[in-house]
Amino acid sequence: MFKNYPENGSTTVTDFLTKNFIYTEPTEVPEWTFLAQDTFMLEHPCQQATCDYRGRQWTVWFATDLPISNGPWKLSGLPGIILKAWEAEGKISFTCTRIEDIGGRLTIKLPSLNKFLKCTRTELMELKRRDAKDPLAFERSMGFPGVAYDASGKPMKYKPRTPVLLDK
Amino acid sequence: MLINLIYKLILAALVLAWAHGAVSQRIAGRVVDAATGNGVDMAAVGLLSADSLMVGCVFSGPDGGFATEVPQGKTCRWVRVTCLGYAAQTFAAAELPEVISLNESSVRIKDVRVSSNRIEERSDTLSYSVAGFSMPQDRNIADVIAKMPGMSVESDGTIKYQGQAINRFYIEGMNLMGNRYALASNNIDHRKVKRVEVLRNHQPLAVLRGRSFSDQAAVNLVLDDAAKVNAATMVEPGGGYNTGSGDVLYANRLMLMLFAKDRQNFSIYKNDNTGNDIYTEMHPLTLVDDVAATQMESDLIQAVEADGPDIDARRYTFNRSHLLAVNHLERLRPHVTLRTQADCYHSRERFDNRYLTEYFGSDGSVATVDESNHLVNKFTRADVSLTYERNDTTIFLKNKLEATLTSADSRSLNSLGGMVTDDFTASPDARYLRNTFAMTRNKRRSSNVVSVSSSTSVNSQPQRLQTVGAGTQSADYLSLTTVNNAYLQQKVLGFYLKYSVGLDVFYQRLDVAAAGSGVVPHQTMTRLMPHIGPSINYRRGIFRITGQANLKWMSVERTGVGRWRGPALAFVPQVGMSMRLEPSPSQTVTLSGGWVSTVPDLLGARAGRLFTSYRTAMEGPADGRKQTSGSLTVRYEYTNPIDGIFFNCRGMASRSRRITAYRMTVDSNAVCTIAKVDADYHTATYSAMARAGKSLNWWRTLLNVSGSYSCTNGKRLMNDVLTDSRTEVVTAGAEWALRPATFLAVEAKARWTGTRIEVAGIEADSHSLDYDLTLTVPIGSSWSLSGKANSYRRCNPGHTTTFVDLAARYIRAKADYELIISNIGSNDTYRTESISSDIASRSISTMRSCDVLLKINFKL
Repeated sequence: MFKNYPENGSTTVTDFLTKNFIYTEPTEVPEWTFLAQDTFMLEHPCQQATCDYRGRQWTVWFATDLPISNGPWKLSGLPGIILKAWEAEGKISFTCTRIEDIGGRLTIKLPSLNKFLKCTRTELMELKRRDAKDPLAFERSMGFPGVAYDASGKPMKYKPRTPVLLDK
Repeated sequence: MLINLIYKLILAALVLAWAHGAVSQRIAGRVVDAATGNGVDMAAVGLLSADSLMVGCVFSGPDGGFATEVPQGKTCRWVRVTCLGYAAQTFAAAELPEVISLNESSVRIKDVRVSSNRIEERSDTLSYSVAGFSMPQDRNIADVIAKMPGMSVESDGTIKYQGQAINRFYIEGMNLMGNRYALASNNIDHRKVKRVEVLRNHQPLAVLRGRSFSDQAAVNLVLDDAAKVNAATMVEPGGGYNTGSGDVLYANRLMLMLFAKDRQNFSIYKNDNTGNDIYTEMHPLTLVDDVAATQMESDLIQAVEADGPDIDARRYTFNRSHLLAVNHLERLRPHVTLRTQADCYHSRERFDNRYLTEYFGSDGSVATVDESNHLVNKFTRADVSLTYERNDTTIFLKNKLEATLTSADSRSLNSLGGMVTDDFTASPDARYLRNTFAMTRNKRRSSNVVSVSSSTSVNSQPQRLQTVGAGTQSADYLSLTTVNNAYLQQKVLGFYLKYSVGLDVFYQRLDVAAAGSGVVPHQTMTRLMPHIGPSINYRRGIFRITGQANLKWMSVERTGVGRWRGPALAFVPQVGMSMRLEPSPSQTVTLSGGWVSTVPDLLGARAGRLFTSYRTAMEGPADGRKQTSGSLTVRYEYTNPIDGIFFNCRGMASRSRRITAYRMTVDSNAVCTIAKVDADYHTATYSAMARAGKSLNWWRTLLNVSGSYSCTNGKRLMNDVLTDSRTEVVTAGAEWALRPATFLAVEAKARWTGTRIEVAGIEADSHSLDYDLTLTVPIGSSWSLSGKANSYRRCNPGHTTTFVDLAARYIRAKADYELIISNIGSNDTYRTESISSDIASRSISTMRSCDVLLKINFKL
């Protein structure tokens, strides 16, 4: 996920589902409610905030002394960087486990995005739902053999899985 | 008519809009770069309340302009403007300038990592990952808990969190073990446990949660899924031989565990003759009880003295010990359990010691006693208890019936002053029966709580002792005790007020039959103690206060004593207060203090002469006068589980009024007589301790450091004059565990103790240093080799003794094989020197020689 790319105010999302997909959307900043809870994380003072965003209720700890308005996934828009985030159903959470001085070295390289298949956000969500429901059928629909065998040689059938980070 | 109505509605809307505008707070301005004057884009303008918490936020636009309104119901007292690359600025909201100039500034962010995979925090619960803290040398869950930052495990098995003993030990949320949890923590394989949860500020009674506050934590073991539901059996035969004596060694263990949803069972049989102390595991630990209950009294007399050196007891203990314990918990209905516990322990221990003891007599004389003994102690203890408990949010109902039977028989072939004496025997037997009932109830939709409790016990000690010069002493002690209490708790103006009343009755009888003068053959004491105890609880935000007073009146009736100097009727109040402040979620400050007035019971105000060991006699008039003491404690706790930092420190001061001093004399038969003497003086104790723990993901390191200082100022008789005495003890300790590579685990412990005793201007100093180093080398996933060096350095006499143990372990799916060679290269004897204000002692103890033991652990 590339925030403020290719231009300020837009977000570019890539994903791999047998093939590389890409879509770009305007950045939608959550509407945050600040809560009267504070703590320290990674030696930084943090405050709690909550929002309803893309069908989920998120609660986060953001660092009040690090004025970076960013966070994991598409979460952003707070006056400090988000160090921990979790959603109400308890299925997804993010925890910042390390802040490291990389000495100016660039460690994330932008891939060649023009080789990605362009799609829309809703199309990619639908692909992920299909992949989670029946990965072999999904593979077949993408032009791959889509068969797998267990140790006794019988064709395998995957149980449906729960895709995460789907916008509801 | 309709137009009139529309006009009124429009007018009302305008008035509402005006009113809204009048109360809402608008914040606007422009953020510019102080150097260039250009607008700063995406500067965060935070709206802060009076307690500096953010209530709203807006970002500046490309020209630096911003405007927002404070959310409804919130008040903005401060405005803080931050932007990456600029120094933050804070303004009072009422004095916010129209143009805010930011100066460029760089902030260096520290490299930080968290151990979030190892410790998680959710509200008051800390969850430690067992896999994250275990090391290859660990054998049970207690070993792993000891490596968790903030936790410690004492030598008797007590688990502490931030320096305070836990109040409950749950397995899968059920209280199977009660106060015998050391049995489970020392025997449950850590590989069966997924997480250790620490429930901070745990109130065990569901009915009191939110109404009565606790500072103590509870521990809950969350088992691995495979360890639940199915019963697990573990058989661990172990055999070997002692290279010195050629004796056959055994260390066997048979364990049955069931941890199902509605039923739990933990049963174990183990035996051992390799010097391991397995009695500690069944010995009840001190837990804060649900109700005020009577306590089992300590033995009147001691077994024949066998004070070993101050080193690990398994180095010098020659034992044959057997332990059988059955613990079963049945969940009858939700929140209703029935627990049965039956434990039995039998041991036969042998010691060979030589003592040279100097007694500093109160008359200024110094008497030296040279004795040696070949001692055989036989000890049997059986405990059984049945506990019914209902613990839900409306009622707490509990009845516990328990019985304990101990039988001791120690026989010693002694030599006093080079002369072989007769066999000395002691049999301090005891029988104890107690029933405790408690009911606490609250009303739905009401904050009122009503509670009644009653605890009744019988303690019988038929104890025999063969003495030097006074033949066989027979002492039969019996006590009947009942403690009854009732209270009503109400919430008034946010305060929880508790009014309690109670009646405690104590009857004690002591019959002594012995030769010699000064023996009082029969004496009794009956005490009736009605009491009332108002108390108050208050909690608001970060502040909590508890205060209680227990106003007791005591009526005393004595028989069998000619001169009784205690009161017939006394007022013995007790008051206490505790304040707790949490300035931030990670910090807690507690201030507590109390003042207590006590009158000694029959054992404390005993008349006549009574031998308490084969050559130690206590004598004195029956002195039951009132004594008082007060104490003040301040405690600070810092907890940062995300960074793995735990710190606590405590300072304490106490002062007590004493009315008795002790005159010590040693006669020509080496009988030490300690006689009570009237005195009126104060003792004062000051102590401070601190402990810090830090876990790092770097090489999975855990570092604990601790230190303590205590100073006691008292008096002792010197030439029959009360003379100042002062004892200072300083300790410093460090524990370090890490796994620098997959093929190496290191664990090191060091503890230094310094003692200074000063009596009448004469000083005596001593210090000791103990350190352990364990290196474990895992080879692949199946093999591991480990070596442990256990060193003791003493200044008096200056010597260092080191014990080395080696072990090789081979782990398979269903069986673990372990070869242990212990006490490698140790000496045959160990010399100890110790000094107190009354006694200087030198001893020589016989040590175990090299043991070779093979254990096979089958998991069925």
